[in-house]
Amino acid sequence: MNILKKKTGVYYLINAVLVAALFLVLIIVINTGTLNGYYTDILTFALINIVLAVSLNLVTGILGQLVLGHAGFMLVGAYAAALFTKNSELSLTVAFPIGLVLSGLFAAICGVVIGLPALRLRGDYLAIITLGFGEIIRVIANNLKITNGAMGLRGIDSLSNRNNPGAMFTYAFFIAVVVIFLMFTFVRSRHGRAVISIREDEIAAESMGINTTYYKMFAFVLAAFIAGIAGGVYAHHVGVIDPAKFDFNRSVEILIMVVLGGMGSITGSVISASVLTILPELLRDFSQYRMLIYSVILICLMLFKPSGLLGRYEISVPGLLHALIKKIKNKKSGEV
Amino acid sequence: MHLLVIKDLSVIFGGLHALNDFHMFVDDREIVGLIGPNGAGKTTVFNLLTGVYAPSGGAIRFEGESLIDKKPFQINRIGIARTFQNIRIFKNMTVLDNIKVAMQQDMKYTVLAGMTRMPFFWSEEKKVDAKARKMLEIFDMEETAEHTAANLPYGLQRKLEILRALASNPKLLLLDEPAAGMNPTETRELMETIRKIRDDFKIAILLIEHDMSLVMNVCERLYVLDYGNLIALGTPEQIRANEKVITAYLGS
Repeated sequence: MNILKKKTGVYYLINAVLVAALFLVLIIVINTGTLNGYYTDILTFALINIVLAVSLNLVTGILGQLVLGHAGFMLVGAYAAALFTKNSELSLTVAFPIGLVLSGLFAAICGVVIGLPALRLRGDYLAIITLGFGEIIRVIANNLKITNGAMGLRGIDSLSNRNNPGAMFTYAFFIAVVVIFLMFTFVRSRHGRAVISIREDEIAAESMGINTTYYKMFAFVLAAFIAGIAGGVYAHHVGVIDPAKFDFNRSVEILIMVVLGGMGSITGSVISASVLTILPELLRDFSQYRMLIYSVILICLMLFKPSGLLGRYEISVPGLLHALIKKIKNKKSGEV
Repeated sequence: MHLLVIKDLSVIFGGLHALNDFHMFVDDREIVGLIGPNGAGKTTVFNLLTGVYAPSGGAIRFEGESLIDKKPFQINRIGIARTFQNIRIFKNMTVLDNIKVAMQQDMKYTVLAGMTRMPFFWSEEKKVDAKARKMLEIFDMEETAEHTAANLPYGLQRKLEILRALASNPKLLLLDEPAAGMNPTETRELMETIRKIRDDFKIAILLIEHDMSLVMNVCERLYVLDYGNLIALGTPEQIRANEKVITAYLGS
């Protein structure tokens, strides 16, 4: 994982080109109608789930603290963004990005409030407190007037329309790309190393001069912020939100994506979030057995690869290319 | 003025007096040993010094500054670094990253600058990378830089822990049983290295050790603990002849 030795600039360039190419291909298929609305929706959901899984992975996989109420942050973000765009006079193209920033900020504030008492302690208090938070925030949303109670909010405008079917997808795509990029750079910086060292051994990290409370708070609040933004995108994508959409099951669903992909592996989260969003949809033809197949796949994976798909490893296209070139070179030098 | 002064330090766990009115001092560039039978309270002294435990009474002063009520990370930044009796390296990180964690204070770039890869992120990282690799040379561990720490043999893991402590730029290094689990040859090498570290880094070293040959050879002064009480102090020769120490170790 030595970032300085490899040709980092080239790597960044290859990744940027690949991401741009992927985006162009997808947006062209969507805009020409080759990929119909249903599939575009699923693709967008997959991207939202990627953002959620990657943000949860920051706390659970990289910082090593269990969070059981990630959907709570999503709820806060979803309502914040929806209420803002519904009540603002601005046109949606302007109001939506502002709403997203607000949703992130509100979720981050919740993160600070529940993180401060929980993260000053050592141990699993965060799991219990976030579990409580997820339930409490849902009950609050169920009873407040401004959130319209259990009926939820309806008629949240989506950016996508007949003329521009890929608008929400574009937003989700670029938010996912930015989040993934920032996670990678964060983990490979002095701050990321501090966070990982807390996962490895909190006492040792602290006696090496790491302010553990600060870094735990930082990672947790950053994850809450990102989850809030994902909630904001989600609200505008589905158009209808109610508190029941953000229950404990939703939190567990995100957690499963993280565990399945490999705790601490960002690319693992990306892969498993995509697979776990798309797979249930593909299995619709066998709707009777859908959940059965889904759970069998999960059980098998945990049996044969308990550390998740990728464990703590990351995969990258440039990295694979590098390995391939090396292999070919070795073969050639072997022949000579 | 002494580098470290401990006065009347006590700690009580429930009804157990783990340490009673302990006092000691350490001067600059001195190698001091803390010995005693198992359960005598040696590691407790380290934990009190580094802020892991809060003392029930007494005073600890480092360069004139009180360490009471300071958090472990603050004490490390003031200039005390330690190793642990049961190795506590960051197992799933590379050897190099283990050391870089302790070099946190050498880098100043902010979270945002790091995440967006500003130019000074690269320059600071490069500087620290070179410095960390240089540290590995102390124990001839350059080859292991990219290895996962958990895969190192036991002896190297102990050495890595010492390097990590050194990397945080301490003025006083606390070593908790550095020779535990090492064979006689390795212990002899370690003795040389401890002296070398003191001379190269110009720091004071306080060490807990059971290996008497190492303690008697390396340390300039010794403190002996038994059941939480300081029973003797002095040069290795004085300690060797001390009746109380012999009784504590061999029984009467």
